[in-house]
Amino acid sequence: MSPRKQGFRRPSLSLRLRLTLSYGAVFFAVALVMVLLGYVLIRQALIHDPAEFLDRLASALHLPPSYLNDQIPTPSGGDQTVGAFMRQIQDETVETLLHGLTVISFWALAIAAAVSIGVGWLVAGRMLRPLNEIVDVARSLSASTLDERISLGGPRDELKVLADTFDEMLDRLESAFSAQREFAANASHELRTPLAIVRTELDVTLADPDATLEDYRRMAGTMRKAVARSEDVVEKLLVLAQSEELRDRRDVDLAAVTSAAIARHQPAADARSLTFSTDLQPAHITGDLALLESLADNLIDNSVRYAPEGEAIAVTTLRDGAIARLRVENGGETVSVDDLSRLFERFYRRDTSRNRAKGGSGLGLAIVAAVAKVHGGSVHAAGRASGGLVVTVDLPGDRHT
Amino acid sequence: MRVLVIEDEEDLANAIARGLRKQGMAVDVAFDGLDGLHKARLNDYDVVVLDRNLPGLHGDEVCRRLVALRVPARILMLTAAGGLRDKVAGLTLGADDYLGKPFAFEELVARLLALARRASPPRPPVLQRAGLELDPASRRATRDGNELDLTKKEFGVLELLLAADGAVVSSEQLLEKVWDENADPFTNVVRVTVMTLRKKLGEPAIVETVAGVGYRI
Repeated sequence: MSPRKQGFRRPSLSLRLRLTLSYGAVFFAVALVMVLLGYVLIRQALIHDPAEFLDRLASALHLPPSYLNDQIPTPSGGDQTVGAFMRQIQDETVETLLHGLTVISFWALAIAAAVSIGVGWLVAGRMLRPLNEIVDVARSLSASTLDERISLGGPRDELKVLADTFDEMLDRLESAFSAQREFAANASHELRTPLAIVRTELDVTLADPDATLEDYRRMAGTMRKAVARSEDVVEKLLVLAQSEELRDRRDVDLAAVTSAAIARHQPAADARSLTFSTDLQPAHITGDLALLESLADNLIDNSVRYAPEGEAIAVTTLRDGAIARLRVENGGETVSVDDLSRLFERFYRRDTSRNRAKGGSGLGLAIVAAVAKVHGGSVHAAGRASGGLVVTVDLPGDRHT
Repeated sequence: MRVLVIEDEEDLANAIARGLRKQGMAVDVAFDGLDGLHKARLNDYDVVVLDRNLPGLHGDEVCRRLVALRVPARILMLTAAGGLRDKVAGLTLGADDYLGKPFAFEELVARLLALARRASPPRPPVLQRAGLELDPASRRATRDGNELDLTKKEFGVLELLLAADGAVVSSEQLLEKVWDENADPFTNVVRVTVMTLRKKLGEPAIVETVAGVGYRI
């Protein structure tokens, strides 16, 4: 038996049984009260004050009241008055009547109770059937089979609401799981590709008995590139994981962070004859310095990668009311609307072999978006009419500056 | 044996091509889906090594179209997405085999040879005819038990002639299968290679020239 099922015990006294018993008990109590009440009322109606009864009897029979006091012999040999005799007959009749009533009442009560328990059992089962469906679905679900739904039919009652809520929760879970799976698949793809390059290079070169020093040098060069790429992916995945929550809060000047990022990318920019045209005004925010550094790094890195050789990249930081803004603008290919909307998705790369050759991991702008989000800010990308991209990051600024 | 490698990671594609060429295969490389599809339709490949995650045209789509076009080449899908679902999806699309990255190069070679054997008509693992024996996997050829020292191209030509099982193989077919796309179609390399091959095979001569058509054993 699987551990999942072991933890799932049947309730000792099922809800169905409890509903049936309480329904039956209430029915029985009400019926019992009715029977007792009837008994008491009938008894009261039958047993009158003896004097009044005899008076009424005498007047109904047109007998003088004194007649009731006449002595008559009893079967046992003694004497008694007519009144006493009649009262005795009446008492016996009432006694018989009440006894019959009691017997019938209790039989009726027993049958009704049995019927009510049976009907209650059926009705409770019927009402609770949707619950079993919910339980069955919940039990059959696991992370890999989240596609099942209860889809309960019938009137919109409490159980239907429960089932629908459950279904909605499954929708959310499924999309979260599938996003997670896709992310893991993408991450593993990004990590496996450089591994495959290293492995193939090693296999091919080492298996070649005629390999020259030149071959080994080239192999080492390719492997170094692949290793650097793995490092980059791992590093970026770490930053993405860290940007899930804000751990460090301190005063950070976006201008200083950006300026440092530009300095770090200067060699790469020089290699492609790119220049930076900067307008960096102080823009203080409270945030995580390391995360904001990687935001600036990835934004500048993206521009340095995609800007056409020899062009200028415009970088601006400023305060706009309560907002600290970082804006990076560069030329390049025209970006389609579809690409613009997906630019910040993890592992999204614009689908051209030219971009693939530029070696981005598809995580840079996703990091920018994640860091902006965790700081309560937003990021926006716009295409330029002349081609290229403007990325604007808006972060809630520090109130004190 | 001629192979097309469609893989967008240039370092990987080049390493695979280099390794396969050392195994005596004629290898062409395409770095995106569209170029790959174009080459696969243009040339007569034995096997296409197809990456799944391709720019230009996704590997799945390339596979689907190759199958729809009834391109005779066998398809080996190569991808970093090595989950069960991906394998099933790839094979469902019409791929003949599936290999996850990273892979052992030996395994790739073995699978390619196995796929080439499944060509129609199917080939035995070791080709035999007229006292000749040729094993594509170990790259050894013998005549009457004597080891032959053949170059890659000579080996390739002999392999095709043996696989034809007595039928005539044209110079164009030899050029198509043994040389890659960089070979000049008007070259006499085939004639020269057949000549040196004959010399190495020795007497009695078994490679017959069918005038104006080609060669046969």
